[in-house]
Amino acid sequence: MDIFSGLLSGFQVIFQPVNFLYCFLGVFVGTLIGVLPGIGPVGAMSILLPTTFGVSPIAGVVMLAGIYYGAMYGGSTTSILVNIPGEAASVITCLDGYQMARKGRAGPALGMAALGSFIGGTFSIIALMFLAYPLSEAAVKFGPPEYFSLMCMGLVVVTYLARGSLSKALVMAILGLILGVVGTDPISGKLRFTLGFPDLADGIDLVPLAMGLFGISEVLTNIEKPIKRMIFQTKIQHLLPTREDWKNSVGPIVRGSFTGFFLGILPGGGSILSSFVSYSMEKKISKHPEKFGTGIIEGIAGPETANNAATGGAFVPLLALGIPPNIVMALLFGALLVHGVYPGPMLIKQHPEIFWGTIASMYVGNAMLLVLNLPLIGLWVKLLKVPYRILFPLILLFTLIGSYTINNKTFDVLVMICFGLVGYILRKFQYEEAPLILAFILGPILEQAFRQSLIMSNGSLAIFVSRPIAFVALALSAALLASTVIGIFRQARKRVAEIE
Amino acid sequence: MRKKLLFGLVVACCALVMALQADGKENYPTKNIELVCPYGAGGSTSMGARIIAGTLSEMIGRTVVVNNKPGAGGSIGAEYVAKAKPDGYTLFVSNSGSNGVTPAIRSVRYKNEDFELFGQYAIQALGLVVRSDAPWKSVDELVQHAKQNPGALKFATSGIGTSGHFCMELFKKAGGDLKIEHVPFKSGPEYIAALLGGHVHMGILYLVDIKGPLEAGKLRLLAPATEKRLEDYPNVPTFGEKGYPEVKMTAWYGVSAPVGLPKEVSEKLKTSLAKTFQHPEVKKMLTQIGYAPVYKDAEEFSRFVKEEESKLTQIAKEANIKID
Repeated sequence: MDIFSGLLSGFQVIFQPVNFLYCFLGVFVGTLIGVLPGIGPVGAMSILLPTTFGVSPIAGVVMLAGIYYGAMYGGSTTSILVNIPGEAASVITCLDGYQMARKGRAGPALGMAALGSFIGGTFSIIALMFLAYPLSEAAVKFGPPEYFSLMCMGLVVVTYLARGSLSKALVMAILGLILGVVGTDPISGKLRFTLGFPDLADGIDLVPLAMGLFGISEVLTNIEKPIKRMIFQTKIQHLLPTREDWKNSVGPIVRGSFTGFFLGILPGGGSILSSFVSYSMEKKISKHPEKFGTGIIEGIAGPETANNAATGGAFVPLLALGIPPNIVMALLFGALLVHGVYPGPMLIKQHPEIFWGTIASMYVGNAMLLVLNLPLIGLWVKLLKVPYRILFPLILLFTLIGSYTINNKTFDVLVMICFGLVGYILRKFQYEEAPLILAFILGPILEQAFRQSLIMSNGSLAIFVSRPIAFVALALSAALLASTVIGIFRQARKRVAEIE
Repeated sequence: MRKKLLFGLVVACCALVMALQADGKENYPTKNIELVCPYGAGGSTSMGARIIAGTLSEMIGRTVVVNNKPGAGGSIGAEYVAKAKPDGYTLFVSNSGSNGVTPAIRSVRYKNEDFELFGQYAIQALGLVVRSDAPWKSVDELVQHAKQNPGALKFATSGIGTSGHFCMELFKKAGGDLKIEHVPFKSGPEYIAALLGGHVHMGILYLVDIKGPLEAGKLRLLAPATEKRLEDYPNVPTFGEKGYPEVKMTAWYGVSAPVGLPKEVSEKLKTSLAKTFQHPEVKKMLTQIGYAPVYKDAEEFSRFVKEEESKLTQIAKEANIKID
């Protein structure tokens, strides 16, 4: 009952014209920066942060939060249209989204991304409302050994991302792990593979890596075969998902909502990981896993739902524990601090209007985003009619600007270009980028968690089996791995039998 | 007709630009000023820099833009400024990271002599924190436990060579070469979560980051590493009071520019910045985001930074902290 009266008061706060306006401003800016590749919510939020000093804390938070989840909506647009992830969390959407666009189904892809985002976003707000406090207690139970076991599970999942050859996917995963090693050794402080560049001391940044591998290499491959362009001129039938699409998407959306929300809670986890996990999970349980990557709606519905559900999850540690789990939340934290409001366990008691106002604003903001994004689909689809000779230079320009703005470093631009070339070569030999990216994200977390665990246990490996959560996750990864290996073995035997 | 007009416009613009350049020195500033923050856009240093930039813009009559150049413990941004033209259009947030601990543990391509310091605007307090259900109620009890169980206790930091790590090394030494193992994390949040979850036993961290958990009674402050007791925690004695006067460390933040500024530019910056740092509104906002707005003028700050440099280099050497 408390929750409903709280929520009601929250809606009273958000429907005040000023707050409503700030909410709209936030989601609008969020959509824009989401669409622009490379330019992420962090940059926009930090620039707009000082403007929140002058307004009420609730208006400020509502706007900044709007930018955050707004960016998650917009991020899929360029993934689908031109194969360039607008946001790190939309990397995986490139796989099926772009293929759908090539089949003339950009409309349903964009529509499903927006609707999935809406559903995932709304689900996570409801979960946040009811579960924030109990979940925050559970989230801190995840220490290094638990992270290690989870990441093992993630690495096993890499194999599911393989579209063609499994061995090629594994090669790419290893390459991803190696790239993830670049930077400072987290425990000893030794610099690894930095080749004397101080810019590499913190490792390679994910965004230029992904933009290069997906976007630049896409442009390069397309330049050499001009005929491919014809595909886009096939008539665009629907702008919105069909009934068939919906039928296929219900499962992924439901599962994506849960995956996203729970992974979003863990500090260091978050939206990128959740989108990968959702995609792999859908592929694993699908009746036709071979169709993933050829442009099917399940490949969009799951991850796009998950990355938006993760944004709600990320609010759990901030509001319930007072720990911002990522940089975006740190900015929100700062915006509240400026007004003397300390997010944390006391927030709901000391400033109920801020707690409930923020939650209510997320309902309202998600609805606004849906209204804002659906009519835009027609416009985006028309963008595909722009001739390549104009579109390509524009794409390159935006990726160059985008990769620079992440850290204001030319080095990142060079990184992107390098990986663009690498991606081009990999494509020529039919290697896929997705396993590389996932391994690149998981590797460093895995390594650090493993070594932290060993320091905690004074070197005993027993720590991974004596802690229940870690043990269960490890056992599950072993089971998953076994099922994959058995699958490969059976296939091989069948092939041998056929030959004989 | 149109072409002529356009041509006239271009000529006028060129004339204007040349005129501006001609007397650039006398009327500094004639263009926008860049304030380089050597950390990412989300962090508290960046937020502080934006507060300073806002008021400095009013004082100096030109917009001051914060430029985030993160990476390698702040050394990327510091190097960028150290090599910039000393014309007063590139300023730097000199701080205990990029100008204190980072040069002490990394090989960097700049030195503190490359910067002309204009003053300090704020510090941040660090303190030793344990989970509230931990058996130790005071520093002494913790020291005793650590002595009896060498290697059993673990401390966390947000990374190798952070202020928290340095301060912990000071504490270990002061307590009598305590054997407490280091578990480094990558970011503040991960490490606070590990403390809250009881995966590590203690940490020395910025108190502003854990104000929520401290107030809610989930974490316990054993001792702040400050000179005096903190206003927010008046009942908690400092390390000094407990008999460990050498355990003292704060994070500090000031503004600098590359050395070699024209005299009048340097003077103008010095006065504008002094006014900015002491502005009541600036102090209020800095306090709200968790800083203690402790002002030091240019001379005092320069002296202080020198002392810090030798102190931190000493700790790094003794505790063998390095990133190479």
